[in-house]
Amino acid sequence: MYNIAMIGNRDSIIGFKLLGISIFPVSKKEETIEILNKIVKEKYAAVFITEEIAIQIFEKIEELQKNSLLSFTIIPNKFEKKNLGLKILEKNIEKAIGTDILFRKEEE
Amino acid sequence: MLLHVNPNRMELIKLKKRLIVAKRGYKLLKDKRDALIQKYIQLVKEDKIIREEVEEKLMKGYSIFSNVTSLMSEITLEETLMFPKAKSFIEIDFTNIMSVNVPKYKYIGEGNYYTYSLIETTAELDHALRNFYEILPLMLKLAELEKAVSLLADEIEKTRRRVNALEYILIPDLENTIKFITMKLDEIARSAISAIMRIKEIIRA
Repeated sequence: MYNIAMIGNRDSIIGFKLLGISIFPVSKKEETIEILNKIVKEKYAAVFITEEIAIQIFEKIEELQKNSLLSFTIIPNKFEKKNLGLKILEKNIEKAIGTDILFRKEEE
Repeated sequence: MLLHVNPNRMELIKLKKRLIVAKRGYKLLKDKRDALIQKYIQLVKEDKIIREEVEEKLMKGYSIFSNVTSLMSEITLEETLMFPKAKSFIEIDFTNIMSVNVPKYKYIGEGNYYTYSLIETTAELDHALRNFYEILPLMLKLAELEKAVSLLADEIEKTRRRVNALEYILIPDLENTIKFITMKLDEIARSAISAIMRIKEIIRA
């Protein structure tokens, strides 16, 4: 049995608290890294991070996504949607296949 | 480029064996790469659809929750959110996609999440919570897909590098070296024959 964690700005994620998800409200980069280091050691499997936090510690997330059991998912925050998740997916495809075949097709 | 080996029969046999293994490995890895890419594209497509759905639903959920925060006083909201009774867990299963271990999540919700006083809270809170509760399994599905996509991308990159190294470096090198040794051995044989012919001439004379 593993837990679910959520990291992000307080207003966006606080609603999930009543569902029994661990909430970590953060605003600064140092705080986030501290919390991530804590989460890695405990029994968490899925971590959701809001966009504006994810952008600050992007390299760390990428590294943990590959080398640990944790899965990181970027979710939009309450105020704006930057489509960061889709951009990362796009980059990922380009790395694996060489060209960005999926998204280009749809634009045509 | 030639490999640094002595041109003799022993080495030739060894190299020929290595070439066979390299070719077989190349074929297998190429097949693996193709299969991985096929699976990857399928996952990516699914991921994209689910991400769009999740983001849209989350934004909706957020806006409903915003209504709650504006309708209720901050203190009551704090009180309401202070002691969640429900617990959310996930169970992990691993599936193997072409030797990549990909996790599968199963959501387990325990307890009721309506654990607050109905007198002090607004009906929007119930609505917002139900909304979040409904999104959660979908979000986990997204988490699972994102993880799989990232792991597969890594594996594809690795496999592609190996395939290229075999195709453009190891196999040509081996072939060139084999050719070099064969030619060298032939040359030695020819020179031996001509030496014998020359000796025969001298003896006969």
